[in-house]
Amino acid sequence: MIARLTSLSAAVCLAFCASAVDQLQEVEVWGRRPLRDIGTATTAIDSGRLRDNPAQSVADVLAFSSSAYIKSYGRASQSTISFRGTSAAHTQVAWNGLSLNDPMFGSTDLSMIPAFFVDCATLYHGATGVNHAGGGLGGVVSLSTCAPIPQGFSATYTQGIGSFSTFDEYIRVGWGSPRLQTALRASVASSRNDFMYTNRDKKLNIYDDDRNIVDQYYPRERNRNGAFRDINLLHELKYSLLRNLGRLSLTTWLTDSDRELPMLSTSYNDSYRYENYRRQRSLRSVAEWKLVRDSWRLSAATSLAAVGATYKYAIATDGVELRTMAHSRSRLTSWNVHSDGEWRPYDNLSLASSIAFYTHRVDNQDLTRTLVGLPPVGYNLARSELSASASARWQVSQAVGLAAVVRQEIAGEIIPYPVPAVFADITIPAPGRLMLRASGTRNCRIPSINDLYYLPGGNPDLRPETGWSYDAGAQWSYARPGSWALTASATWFDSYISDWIIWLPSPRGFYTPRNMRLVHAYGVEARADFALKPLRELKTDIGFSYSWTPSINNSSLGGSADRSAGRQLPYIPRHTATGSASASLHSWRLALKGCFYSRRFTMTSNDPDPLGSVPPYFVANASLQKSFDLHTLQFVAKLAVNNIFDSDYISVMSHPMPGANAELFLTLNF
Amino acid sequence: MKFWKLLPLSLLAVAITACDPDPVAPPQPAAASGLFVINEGNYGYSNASLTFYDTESDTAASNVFYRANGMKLGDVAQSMTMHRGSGWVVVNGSGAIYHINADNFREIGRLENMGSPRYIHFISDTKAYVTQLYENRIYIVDPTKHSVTGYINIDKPADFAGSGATEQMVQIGDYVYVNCWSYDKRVLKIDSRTDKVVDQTAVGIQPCALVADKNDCLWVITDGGWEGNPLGSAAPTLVCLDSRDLKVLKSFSFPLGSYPGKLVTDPAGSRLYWLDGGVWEMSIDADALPSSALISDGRFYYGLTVSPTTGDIYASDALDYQQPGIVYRFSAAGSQIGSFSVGVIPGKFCWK
Repeated sequence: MIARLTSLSAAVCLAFCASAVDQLQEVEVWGRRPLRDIGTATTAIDSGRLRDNPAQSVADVLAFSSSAYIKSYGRASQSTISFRGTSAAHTQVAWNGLSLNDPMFGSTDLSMIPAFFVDCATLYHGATGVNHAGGGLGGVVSLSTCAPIPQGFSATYTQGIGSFSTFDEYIRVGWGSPRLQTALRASVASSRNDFMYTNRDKKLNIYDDDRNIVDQYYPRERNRNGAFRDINLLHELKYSLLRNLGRLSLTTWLTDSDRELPMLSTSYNDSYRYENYRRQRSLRSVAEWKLVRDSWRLSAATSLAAVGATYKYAIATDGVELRTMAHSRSRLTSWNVHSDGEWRPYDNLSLASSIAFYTHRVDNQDLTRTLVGLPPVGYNLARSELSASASARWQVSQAVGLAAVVRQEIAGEIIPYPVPAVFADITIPAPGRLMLRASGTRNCRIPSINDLYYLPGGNPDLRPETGWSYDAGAQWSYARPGSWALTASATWFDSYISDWIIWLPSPRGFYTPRNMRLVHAYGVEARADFALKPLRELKTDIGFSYSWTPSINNSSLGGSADRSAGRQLPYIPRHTATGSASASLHSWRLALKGCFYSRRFTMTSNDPDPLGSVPPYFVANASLQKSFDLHTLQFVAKLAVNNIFDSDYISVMSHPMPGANAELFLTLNF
Repeated sequence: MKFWKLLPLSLLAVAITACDPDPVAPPQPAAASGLFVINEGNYGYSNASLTFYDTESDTAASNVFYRANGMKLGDVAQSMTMHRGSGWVVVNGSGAIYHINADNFREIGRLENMGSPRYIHFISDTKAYVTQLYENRIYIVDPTKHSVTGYINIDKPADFAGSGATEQMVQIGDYVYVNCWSYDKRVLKIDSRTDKVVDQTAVGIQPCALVADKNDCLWVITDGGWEGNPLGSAAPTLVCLDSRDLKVLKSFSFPLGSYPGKLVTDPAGSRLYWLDGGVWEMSIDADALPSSALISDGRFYYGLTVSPTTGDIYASDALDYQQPGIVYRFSAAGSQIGSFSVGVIPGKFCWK
């Protein structure tokens, strides 16, 4: 029975991966569903979506491929992810097991991660995230650079040229033998990013000779100071040890990012010369040893992350002297060792544990006033963190699976309660495959280093945020091998988060974080994917995802004046939806995708006026690709058009987004 | 097949919901007198706003700048000053000062490229000073031309550490007094005839508020900085200075851990009011700080003003700083008279 079910699910899975490999055919695979999947809620982003547009970041991919909310400050600007009505700091992001969350801020800027460097992305929703990391009250995003390196020499080179003087270059060179493989990927992306937009936050005045305003109009403005240049380099080295003693890998990722920061659409400080930029250099390296046996597996890894960032804002209001308004720098060094193991004493039982130790050294300094002889303002400190987990997964019968995880987090002197999580699923014989699943956890998130120690304003008395959450859902798959395949899922989730940390102005003239809110976040996540092969050479895929995420503030300041109780949290949309469709015919491929976010409130009182909310928007992208096989090499031409309906939209208030734009990519595969 | 039939409908639904009707109607003309509330808004959100409160009819009109002009006021409105019947709204984060008609709230003109402006003070019809948070110079502007005409450099003594950031201004005779709040300790004396700093004194860590009393004495509150501040940290103080020579006449220390600020006077200039959680009151002749607050109702007030005609006290509560705040109106004796809703983070007031 299990074998039949798994062969069916494998067929369905392969069908949906068809967008990546342009194949839709019956595949008979025998095996068991992994015990680690018992009761989990995941969204797997296939490599086709990751490779759809070479110039996109992981933020761009997830915005169009999942029901998570991507909050973007603009093109090549900070973009964060949150799910299930939580904040960006409640989402843990890991790359090859290394946490990418900035220990200073707690969140991750996904715009800094080129999708070209990621071969596999998986979203673990809610309690499922406890299997992988602590602190993910909303969930966990796992990114991996893991594509197989073919035997012999292989190479891919892509060049792109697009709107707003955008130039992209990507290269991947690999060489592999049975025991040793190595690959190098590099990307260089640059753009003036000076798109035009109608600024509805300003009006330009027309004056008469006596300086009286005689007319006003919304100006068409150029997104000045939005240029960027990102260079990324990634090297992989894999080696299989003799006598089957396991596999070693070393992955190193270098980033050199130089990004200007566009002014707010309400800024009037931009008529003269100015600088407003953020520069970041980073090195991340993961070395891992992994050994897999029939009944057990073991891995050990160590990683190093060194990140240096500089921010500067200077203007010459008199058109002569550039004067620094803000100047800061941060240096982060993180060292991590982690190990995990799994033992399967029986085919239907898995016992696993993991332990990870981090030590962060952070030097965060505001240099603004060093120009007038004052010393820097900031902190320089270290924090050690520990995260350990133990889990048991039991396939009770062919239909029923149970799992439990307990995780302990420690950060500095903060030792919150252990985090338990339980999972269950049941597979019901039905046409196709129907699985019901449920999970629950009591999770927590330890305040970030800035929350505790930032100067001025850090609050060392903050408590960890804690949350109860559970979810339950169903997934149904059905396929007619060689013809069509359908999978659909829906999950209800419910969570209560207390001591939600929020930065608020203080009477002393700076912001300070406080444990403020009790939040009830609940809703539905739904997804459907359909693959159809109506003709022998024509293959189509359609996918939809939808998320309804009320995230309600249940705390009150007391008194009748407070209008925040019972309202949606700021910058969390109640509705998000994505849709995608693709069709492949011979060597042609056409793809469409879109995403929709409902109104996001900027006030806790949920005022719908222009100062209190950001309008809903729908934005769609399209791409058309043609492949040419030329003996030993393949040539691919692709035209990608973003925002095909030229929507006038913003994701974050006063941060304009580009209208319709296009980029042409030419790829050579050796 | 049904999928394809539903697709256009769903797209249409999306398009309809994406339409965003303007929910804001033009405001009614303002009364002859009243109170402007300057709502800072959240930093980086560009949701600053102006509220106009008619003290006679006890009605408040919210968001009057946007409604009158069809554009945002900007990012972090800091202050507003009336001059010759028109209003000047200083928007710190946007680097702009709007000159508005105080009756219909329509823009008359604007000063752009103002750096990080905090307050505007009028010396004459053709000259005004604009203090700066991130620059150690005061801008001199010509209000009639909406242009910058010069600068007053805030140099510091050789052995003195300070940013030169300037804040509030009061004028006594030809001299303008300025407190240097952010990362500084000084009060400056500027000769408005020559636009030069002619005297200065260090009064304590981060003087955050400045007023003049009926005797032409200056009263300053220092917030005492914070642990890690390069200037150090200390208990906040209330200091009285002789405006002629900037000598300290009186000095009172607040308890450590208190957060005094937003200093104002009554119409006669004989009593001081400030915020420290509640509203505190003290005679300028007092020899000690009061032991209890005039208004202590559990609220943590954010802005404060006193009516120049009635002596009524207006204190704003920013609530959670992310929703429209409330302004409470009290009699001079501290009894609550009423309240009205304003915008996000009501920080300053300006009497019309």
